[in-house]
Amino acid sequence: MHELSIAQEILSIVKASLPEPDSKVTAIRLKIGQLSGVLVDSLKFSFEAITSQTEFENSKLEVIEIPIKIKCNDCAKVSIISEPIFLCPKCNSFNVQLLEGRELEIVEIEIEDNKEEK
Amino acid sequence: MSVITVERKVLEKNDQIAQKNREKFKSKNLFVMNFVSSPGSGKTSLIEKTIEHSQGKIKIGVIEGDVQTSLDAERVNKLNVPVVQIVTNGGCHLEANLVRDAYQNIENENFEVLIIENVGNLVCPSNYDLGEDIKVVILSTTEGDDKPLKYPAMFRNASVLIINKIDLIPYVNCNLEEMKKNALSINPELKIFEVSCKTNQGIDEWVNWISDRIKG
Repeated sequence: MHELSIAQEILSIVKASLPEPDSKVTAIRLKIGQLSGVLVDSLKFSFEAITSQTEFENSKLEVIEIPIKIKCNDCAKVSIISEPIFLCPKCNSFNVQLLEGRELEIVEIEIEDNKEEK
Repeated sequence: MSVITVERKVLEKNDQIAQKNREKFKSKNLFVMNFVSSPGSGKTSLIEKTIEHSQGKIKIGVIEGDVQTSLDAERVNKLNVPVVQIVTNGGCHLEANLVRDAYQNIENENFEVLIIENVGNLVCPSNYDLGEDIKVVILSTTEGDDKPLKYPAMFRNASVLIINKIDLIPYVNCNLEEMKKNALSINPELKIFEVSCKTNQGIDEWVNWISDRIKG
């Protein structure tokens, strides 16, 4: 249950990234790896809870889930594995390196254009 | 609609503080271990045994993390080593800033190995770098042999696995070989120790390993 503190970190990075303090954020795009230890539903729930009745109430969390990608150090095969068993599907070697799957990043945010701008 | 590229790690603030901790520990020649496990697997008992069996060989300092109470720090304090307690008040893991602040309390004491006992939890602590050299995951035989498969992130990020309560093997439904096989399938580089904090089996081997690490 550390999703709440992760939601708070996300909010503080988003606030610091806004061009104007009152920019309206419509979406926040995140990359979350399957091995990041973060439960997406729980993160969304936490984010809604801390932004409810604030200027971020309508900011949506959009999550790009990143599967576990490994590279075999013996046969060089790159594979995506569904379960975190670090075994090369081609040559059955355990000597593999993790390429992707631990991500927990904010990729970009989408903001509404200021209509009053002249 | 306009899009602003952010490309920032969510936990970058923690990672930056952890990196500063790491530099500080390095400047003090400290070997730092982050003990992680589920509640009740024997982290505090292992710390007690490690201290007892390294008397005269290794000087140890301890940062105790708990959700509530300073019971663990009181236990460790009886062994006359520098110890400081962090109470997270509900927080399910330690963060780098908590470790930074706690360390200031024992910084001037004389020790060469720092053990940080994380909050009992096999999920959240795997995300938070504290600035340690290695993570040591403790798993007891009563928890079952399938746990490495259920908590892969933790086992993947650890360097050492301590299988505790090895004396209970005859009484519990745990296949030791299966437990080790599962752990190695997640992380083939895990160094595994089988110990009992009750009978002291394997404790000296573990202490010797730490001793080799700091002399190496």
